[in-house]
Amino acid sequence: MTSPRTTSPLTRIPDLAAWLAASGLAELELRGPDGQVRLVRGGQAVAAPAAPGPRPKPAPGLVRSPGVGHFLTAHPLRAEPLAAPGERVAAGQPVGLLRVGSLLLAVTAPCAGTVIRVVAPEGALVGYGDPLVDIRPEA
Amino acid sequence: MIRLLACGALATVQDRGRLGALRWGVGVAGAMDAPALAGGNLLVGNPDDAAGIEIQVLPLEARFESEAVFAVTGADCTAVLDGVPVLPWTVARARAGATLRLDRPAAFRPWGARTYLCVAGGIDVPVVLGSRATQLRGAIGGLEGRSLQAGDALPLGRPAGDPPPPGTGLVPPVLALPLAVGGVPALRVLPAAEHDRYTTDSLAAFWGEPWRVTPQSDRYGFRLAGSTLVPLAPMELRSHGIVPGVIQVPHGGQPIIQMCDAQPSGGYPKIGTVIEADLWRLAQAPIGARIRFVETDWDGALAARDAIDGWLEAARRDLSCLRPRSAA
Repeated sequence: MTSPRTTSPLTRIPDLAAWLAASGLAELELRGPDGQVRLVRGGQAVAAPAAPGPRPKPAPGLVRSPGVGHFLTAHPLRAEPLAAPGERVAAGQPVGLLRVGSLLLAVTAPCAGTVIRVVAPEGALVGYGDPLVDIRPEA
Repeated sequence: MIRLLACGALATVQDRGRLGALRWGVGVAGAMDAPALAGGNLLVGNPDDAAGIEIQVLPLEARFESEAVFAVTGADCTAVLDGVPVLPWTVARARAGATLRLDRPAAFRPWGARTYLCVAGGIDVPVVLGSRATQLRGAIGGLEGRSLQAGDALPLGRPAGDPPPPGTGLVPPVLALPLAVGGVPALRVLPAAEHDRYTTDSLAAFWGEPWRVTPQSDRYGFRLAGSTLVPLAPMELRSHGIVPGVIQVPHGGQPIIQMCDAQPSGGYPKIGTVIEADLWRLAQAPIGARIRFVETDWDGALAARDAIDGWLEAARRDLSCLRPRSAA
């Protein structure tokens, strides 16, 4: 998106509804700085935009979920976790995976550092921006 | 171009197979684990008929002579690109001059026998009878009709388009579509022409007992060990057409499952046929592994094919959502 401030999700509801109908999803929820919209397949009501919740405080070493999916700490073909507490990771190194449908998307470290702890539980359904892994950045 | 710096025995260039050539007596060849090659091609943005490298014996070391997008699929292995670990079944990007090393997994691997290296653009060896697949028996296709060796230079085709971003991976079919009986990996089998000409005990063993994959198992066929299968009366058949998946029973009573490099005809009695949709499962059965047979029927075989096709189509659909779009 080039200009998120000028594009309200409300103007795109017909498109969103069509995408929802074409997908295998039951529900679609979008949150932005100006509000949120929730579409439910076969539902009777569409929630009105509500005031946004508190904005998350920026934390340089906190890895947040890039989207909606199930968080995995290890590749399902392997036993060893991608990022164990105490382990040093390089910038861009996968520290977890997000399983979205048939995809496994690498969640990468934003900076080099040491893994403090894995915040999200294995297999948990996480949403955009949810904290996943806490990393102490290297000075 | 990629250059092989180290290469174990029997690595070959394979695509989805030399389809439509059986009528000339030319076998299918192609990737033993077809979904692994297909998934790898999807990950690197290749067309479905692109060729990759099928690897049976690790380690393998390859240098990318130019920048390339690649994915390692099939059986998991330890993959390291210039010292940085590479995830299985995941898009990765190599700079020009980078070296990829595939090695035996650190942990014991109970399953998996063949790994695939897929590169954007595909391995661009000449097309022979409609396919780039290596047919070792006829010494056609692939690189000079032979298995690969250290020093080989493999030309790459031109990448078809924008692959998904690095770090994008697929849930492998072994996890998406597991199949086991009593903890033993299973294959679905259609009873074949001579099925009913075996003793009741033999049939009970065939369907009810595990079968061990012997060291005499390769791209031509898998020889199994288990109870001796005894015919009700000796059978002498004329040679007839056979396809990958056919389970023959030679006089010794130990079954052979024909695989991708099988010759197109044979004369042994056929007790069953592993359905096409499960051949990739057998391809990943390592020497010494146990497998079980599960009886299915025509409808069951078609449903299984729909399931594996569905896995691939879901992957194709989900990956298309990630492709970089033109500025909007």
